[in-house]
Amino acid sequence: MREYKIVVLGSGGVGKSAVTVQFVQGIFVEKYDPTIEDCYRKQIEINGVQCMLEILDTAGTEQFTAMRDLYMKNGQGFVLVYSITSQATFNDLHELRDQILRIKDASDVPMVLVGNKCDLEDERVVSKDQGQTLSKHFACTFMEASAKLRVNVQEIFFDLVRQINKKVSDKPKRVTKEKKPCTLL
Amino acid sequence: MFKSIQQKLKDASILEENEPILSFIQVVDFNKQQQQFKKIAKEELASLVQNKFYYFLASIKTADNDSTPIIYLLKLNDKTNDFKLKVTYYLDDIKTITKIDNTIKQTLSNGNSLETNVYAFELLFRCDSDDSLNETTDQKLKFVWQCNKVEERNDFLDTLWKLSEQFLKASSRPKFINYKFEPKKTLVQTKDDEESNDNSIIKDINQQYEISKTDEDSLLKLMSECDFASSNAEKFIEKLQTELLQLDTSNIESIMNSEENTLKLIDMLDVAVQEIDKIDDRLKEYEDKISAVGDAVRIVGERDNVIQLQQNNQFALLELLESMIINLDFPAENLHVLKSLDLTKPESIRKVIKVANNLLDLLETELPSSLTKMKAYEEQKKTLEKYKISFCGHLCKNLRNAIGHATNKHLESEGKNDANRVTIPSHKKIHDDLLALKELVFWVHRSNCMFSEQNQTKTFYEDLKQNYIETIKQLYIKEVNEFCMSAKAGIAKLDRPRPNVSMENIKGSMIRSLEKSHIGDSFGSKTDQNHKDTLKAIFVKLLNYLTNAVTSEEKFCLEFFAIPPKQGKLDESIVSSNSGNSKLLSNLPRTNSNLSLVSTNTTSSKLLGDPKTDFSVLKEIFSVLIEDQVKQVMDSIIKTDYIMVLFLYSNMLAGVSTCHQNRQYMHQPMVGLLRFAKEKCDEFVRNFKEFISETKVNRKEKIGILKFVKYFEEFVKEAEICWEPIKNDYSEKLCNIYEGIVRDIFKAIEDIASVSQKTPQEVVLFQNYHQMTHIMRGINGLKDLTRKAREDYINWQKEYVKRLFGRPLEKIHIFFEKVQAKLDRGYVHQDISYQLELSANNLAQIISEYPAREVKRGLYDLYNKVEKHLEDNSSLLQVVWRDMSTEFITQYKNYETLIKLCYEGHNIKFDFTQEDIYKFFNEISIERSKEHKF
Ligand SMILES: Nc1nc2c(ncn2[C@@H]2O[C@H](COP(=O)(O)OP(=O)(O)OP(=O)(O)O)[C@@H](O)[C@H]2O)c(=O)[nH]1
Ligand SMILES: [Mg+2]
Repeated sequence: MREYKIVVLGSGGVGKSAVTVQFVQGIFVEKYDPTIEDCYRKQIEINGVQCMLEILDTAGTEQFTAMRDLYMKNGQGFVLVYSITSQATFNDLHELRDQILRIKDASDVPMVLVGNKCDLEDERVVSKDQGQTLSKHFACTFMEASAKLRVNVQEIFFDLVRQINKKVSDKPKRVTKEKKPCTLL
Repeated sequence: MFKSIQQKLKDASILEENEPILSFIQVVDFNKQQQQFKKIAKEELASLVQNKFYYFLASIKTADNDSTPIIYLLKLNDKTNDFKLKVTYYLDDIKTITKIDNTIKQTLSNGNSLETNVYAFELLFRCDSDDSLNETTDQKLKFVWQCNKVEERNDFLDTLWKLSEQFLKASSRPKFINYKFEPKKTLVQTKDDEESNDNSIIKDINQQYEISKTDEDSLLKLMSECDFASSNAEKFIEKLQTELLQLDTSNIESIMNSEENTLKLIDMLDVAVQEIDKIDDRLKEYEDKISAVGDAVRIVGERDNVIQLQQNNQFALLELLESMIINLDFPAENLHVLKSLDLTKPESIRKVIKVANNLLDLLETELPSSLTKMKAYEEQKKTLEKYKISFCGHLCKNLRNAIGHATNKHLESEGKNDANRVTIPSHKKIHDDLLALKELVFWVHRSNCMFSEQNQTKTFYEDLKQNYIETIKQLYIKEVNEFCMSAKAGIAKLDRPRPNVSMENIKGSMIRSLEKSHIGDSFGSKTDQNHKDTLKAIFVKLLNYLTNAVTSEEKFCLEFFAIPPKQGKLDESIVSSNSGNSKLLSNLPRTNSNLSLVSTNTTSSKLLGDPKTDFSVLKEIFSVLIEDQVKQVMDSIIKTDYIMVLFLYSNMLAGVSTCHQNRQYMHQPMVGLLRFAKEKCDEFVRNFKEFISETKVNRKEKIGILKFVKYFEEFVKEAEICWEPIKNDYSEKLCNIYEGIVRDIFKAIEDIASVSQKTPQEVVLFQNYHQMTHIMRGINGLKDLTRKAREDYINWQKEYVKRLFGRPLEKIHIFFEKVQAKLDRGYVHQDISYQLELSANNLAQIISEYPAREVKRGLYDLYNKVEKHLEDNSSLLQVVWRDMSTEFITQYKNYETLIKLCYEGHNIKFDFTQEDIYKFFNEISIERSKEHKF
């Protein structure tokens, strides 16, 4: 079975753990307990193919954050989460994405931008347009989600798996193309 | 002759009516003639000469009391003999009139030379635009006219001279060159040669003019007199003629008489004119002189300004050069200081720093770009640059030596390898030694000197940094390794021999750890707790020493490799750093490592606007050293006593918080260690949960308090101790751990209970739930689960009591059930006893089957049964027993009530009273517990 290493990133309290736990266990975690680092595994079926997702729920708070480089290096796909109720969490993502690209040393890393807590429409400060614009800038998928109401939770991870598949299937073609002239010699 | 010409000209309307001819001269255009001479020199001169004749005519035009002398240039038409006007010149148009007397030598074709006397004059006309004449205008405005007769020529010039003298202003008079008016001669000549008055010019003109004026008056007078006698015209004409004649005569007479006076007057006037000329000349001279003086004064003034300017420029230049020299001067004594480079004494270090900084100052001063083009400047710069580079190399070598020296000194004083190292040696001496040189390090940074090594350019500063890192890194590796080694040795000593060491798996070690403390409950609890405390103490000490070492290294690096923005600020930080550690921490730039950290909780730090401190040096020194070593220690602690993961986890949580608050570099390895500890803790919990869910029981055996419930109690006990210091911040994390375990335990209890055979299901449930309630009470975060456990316990206990106690007075119970049924159907109380089945006799007989003795024995058996069901020495036995007595009494009371209602007067009574029942229960429990004690 193919394994997919997914890393969930974002500032503290945006709901990374809530989204992940909702996806993996189907429950909503009401309590806030700042994550240090948690790893979850879940098997899903995409297009009739079984996939094993290894989801790394990372620390968003500064005090539990150090050496992001390591898991960024290992991750294949990234979920960038902000909360639509906090502008700061939205702004913080630039730095994170830069770091991912720098460490991956690539410009096309499978990535999903997630505006979480979309059930809290009354407290919204980041508009959907803003998210859309940022995703264009990041050249990645964008969705607003709610871990509480289980909105778009599955879609996040499914989309990411598809992105990873696409990237992997793209790569060998390129390699063979490059190799062809060599074989002629 | 004049008159005829005059008439001719007037006819040709060249001259106006009263325009006199004052002089008339025949001329030839000299220039043209000359050219023709040159061109056709072969031909006879004579044939040419007769060719073109021009005539000059001097006249005077009078209009409105203003007289303007005029010269006409006429041409005589050969055929018609008529004059044609060529040009009219005004005398004041002429600038100069030059008299030319010349002899021209002509070489003819036959070889003979011909000498011709030429009498000519040149007329130079004023240029309208400008006085200065250039060549071309010269040609245009310059005319030379040749005359046939010298007399004619002279006469013409005389006339022009007189006209100019009389009618023109001195300024507009033509200048006569080569010509001098000779009045006497002219006068004589005029007198002698031509007695006729026609040629005596000016006076004539005046007279003619004046007469005509008086004529007019007389005429008017006459006309008026003779107005009436117009008829007598003849007479009048006659009279007029006579009078005219008379007048003519008198005129001539007066003319004759006045001639001499006039001449005298003219002479006098001439003299006066000459005087005026003289004065005029002199005035001109003065004017020239004054203007010359003026010019001189102006020139002197200008020159003065120039001198002033020059002087200013010179001063400025001097100043500039002086400042430039100051800015570039590096005395030999300074060079000597740099070359000798004495770093042994503080004052010499200070001197070196001062001189070295001076060198950089010189190199950094910005001079005006114009000066920098000077060769001397470039050369001096080059020299200074050379000094800089060579000093930098020299200095870095010395600094590297100083680092090596300080480290060696430290090693010597700390002694050889020490496996039993109980501390990490302080590096204070190294730091102190090196901090004395820190300004030199800053100098190296400021100088930005580079060198090449293996095709790579590196700054000396980076090289120096690298050197320090390498040196000190080795030292730390050695010291930290030794320290951790001794810690591990200390831990190993505490490890009790265990069975099958190599075979023990994680679960085994978990069980051992939980079992150890559990079993120790009665005997070994103290030793176990002591062991735990010792392990904790070792770890706390380890972490403290490491943190201190890293913190002081951090402080040192920030200072030693600091790049202060300003000299002043640096001094300030030195002062503060000397005043104690605690103060230092607050003065250290509060930073957040150079990790890019993101958090909404960072608002506070973001508000502070912390500059990011460069932890790169520390990162390189410690890299993975600390994490690796401490992880090893943690591992050996866990091996010794697995449940210590709780302590390690909680301790790392606390450590991370502290380091984060202090913004220390140590935060970074701490987070790594926290992750490790959490992982280990999670692993423990995972194993524990697995243990819980995998627990199997023998159905045929008695099931009391389950093992995992007992383990959980141990777990909670240890966790509560460990979380005590951090319960305010992280109780949530522990609660989550608890919750997970508790849910699994509940599930496992239910599962086990359902398969139990020997022990009633209710007993398994209520006993374990009761135990769980007992363990969890007082844990705030588990209130809901505790309530659930309590409810379950109570319910299952009731169930048990109900089920087990059943109906000890079976038959009585059935009887009264029937009674109750009848009553429910609407029978009256009194009627019940009349029912055959429910007669008083029947009842009395059933009751007699239950004598007090029997009942007590039954209760005794029940007690034994309960006791067998429950855990040994269970406190719940009494609880259950009491509940059973309550149950019995409730039943008994119910029967009594029904007897009273339905069988009043039948005298039906139980063999025992309510008090008896209490007594039985008490007696049995006291008796049984007594039995146990002995
Ligand atoms: N209303 C609402 N609340 C949410 C949602 N997602 C998460 N939360 C709440 O937001 C708080 C923080 O959620 P977490 O998932 O712990 O946040 P996190 O991103 O994992 O935070 P760190 O682990 O510290 O980085 C919790 O109290 C959640 O209940 C959501 O979709 N809607
Ligand atoms: Mg989280």
